[in-house]
Amino acid sequence: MSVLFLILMVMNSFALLGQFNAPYTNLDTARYQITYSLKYQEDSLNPSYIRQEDMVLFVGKRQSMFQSLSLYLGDSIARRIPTPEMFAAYFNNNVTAPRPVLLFQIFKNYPTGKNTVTEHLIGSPFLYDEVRPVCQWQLTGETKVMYGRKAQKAVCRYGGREWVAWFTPEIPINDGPYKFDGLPGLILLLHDSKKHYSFEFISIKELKHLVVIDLKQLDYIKGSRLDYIRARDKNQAEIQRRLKDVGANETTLIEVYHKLNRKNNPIELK
Amino acid sequence: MKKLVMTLMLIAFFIASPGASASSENCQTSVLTCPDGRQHYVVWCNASDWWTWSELLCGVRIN
Repeated sequence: MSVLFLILMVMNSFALLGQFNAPYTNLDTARYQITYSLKYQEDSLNPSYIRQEDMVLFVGKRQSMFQSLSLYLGDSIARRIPTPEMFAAYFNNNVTAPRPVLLFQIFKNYPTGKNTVTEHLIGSPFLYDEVRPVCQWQLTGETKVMYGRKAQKAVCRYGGREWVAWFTPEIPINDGPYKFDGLPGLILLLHDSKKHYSFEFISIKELKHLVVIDLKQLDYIKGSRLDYIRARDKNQAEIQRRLKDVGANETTLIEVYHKLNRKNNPIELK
Repeated sequence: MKKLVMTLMLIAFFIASPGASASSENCQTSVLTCPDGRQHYVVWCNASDWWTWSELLCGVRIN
């Protein structure tokens, strides 16, 4: 009886430990980790202000997961923190802790034949799916050597932008950055025609350790991609309202207002 | 009596288990400290809320 009691108490402690973080749904096991450097112009009116973020693509047998490397690292830490108070203390006291900016995740081929996309808006994590591939590639016939590999050029339209991809059949992984896949080889370089968003291949490695492709179970608002874009465009007012609710001063409100106004060049325009 | 205690403990265990609840979101107000030492009150419900506030309130200033 006492042994059983002890076992139950220990199990219960682990169960409670996980409650700050929502549970996850395991989708696949990653076999490859591909890293890209994303450079993007956040403000369409200011071409000299270019932001950079490393992005990571985990490729499994059936699904892949694409997100900011910083989000992946930050989330890996957050999963091990049992309470909100400890989370706040950790991220307040570690200046080197990851501070992800791009908070979306893309799960390709989940469910089968579709992509699942999670986006974050203050107060409302959003989830939508869409049929893949998201665009119909056209091969231009142009080739060049890129990162030591023979690459071919393909173009397509998606989200209000014209996209150019350079892929290599020498790496037989039909995947790439963001939502883009479906070419006969890994995408090494992807950019839109204005080069407001540019993903450049950094590295590929075959994983020897376990990396699970999993989806966090939050209370997502579910809708279509266009529902998300509408919600995204309304989120600025919600941010300002929440800041006022906690008594933010005028200087902070103005600073945040200007920062939000500069975020006027999303990767998907429509 | 022992059986009753065991049953109650099993019920408590399954109620506490994360798998038993649809969501474990827990919104609260905390102080967010920026790397430059500035502090702000924020209401946040999950890690991504925290990082959003961190970027908006502490992020790079553009001149």
